[in-house]
Amino acid sequence: MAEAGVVLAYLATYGGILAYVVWLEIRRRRLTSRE
Amino acid sequence: MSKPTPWLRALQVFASVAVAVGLVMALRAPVDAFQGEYARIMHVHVPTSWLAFLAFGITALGSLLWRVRRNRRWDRLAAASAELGVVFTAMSLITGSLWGGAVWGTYWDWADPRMSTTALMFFVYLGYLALRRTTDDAEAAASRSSLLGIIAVVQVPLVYFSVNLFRSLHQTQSIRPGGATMPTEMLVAMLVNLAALTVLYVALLATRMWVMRREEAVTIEPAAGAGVVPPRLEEVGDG
Repeated sequence: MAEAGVVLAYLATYGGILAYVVWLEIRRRRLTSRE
Repeated sequence: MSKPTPWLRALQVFASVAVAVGLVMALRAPVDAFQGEYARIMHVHVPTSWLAFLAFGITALGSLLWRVRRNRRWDRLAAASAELGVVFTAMSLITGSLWGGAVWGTYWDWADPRMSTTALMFFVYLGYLALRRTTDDAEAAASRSSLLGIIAVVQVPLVYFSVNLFRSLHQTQSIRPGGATMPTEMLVAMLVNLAALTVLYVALLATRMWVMRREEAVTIEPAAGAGVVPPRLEEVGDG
């Protein structure tokens, strides 16, 4: 069983990457609607 | 229609697969006898720290090239890389703090040179991103931020060598020219994650620059129909 700190570290890293990818996708979709 | 080019889409898919492989290897890597499961944090902490350094180095390079060539492409490179650098520095600070809390018994210590210089670097580059938003004029934003982008990069060697220059809680580098201070299986998992997250950085950088370029084009180009002068009534005639 992984320690809570390890789970949090992986959540922070991969969750952060996912959040950035979602934010980029939102910007791309906004562009599509403006074009 | 704003759809990424095939090569950009291929890079995104390759980066996603590489990150997934890295994650599996990190979770299957052997643990340390003293640190236990907490040693797994190193597989994300070391790559995110490296990417923060790389991203800010690329920001400095893009800033320098913009000042020499005055080509918008280099400003987009600098800005996109700074944004990613801030994201990776935040991850490095969080993962490092969680590891420190378990292994050192403290999540944060301002007296530690590695922690404090990394935090300072994070805030300076947040300032870089804020500086870019102080004007709507793209040329002015590029001009102001490029100076900071070039000057602020001195922090990268300061953060990296802080553990050698000052007394620090943080251990010295685990991977050195003379060899690594960890078992081969752990080292391989760490290097795979280092490579995978570097590919991810390149994919995210290319995607962010692509979005920036499209956003600039939409801002500069008039919307459809704008600028068309409607005919005056007398020109239309009464038929």
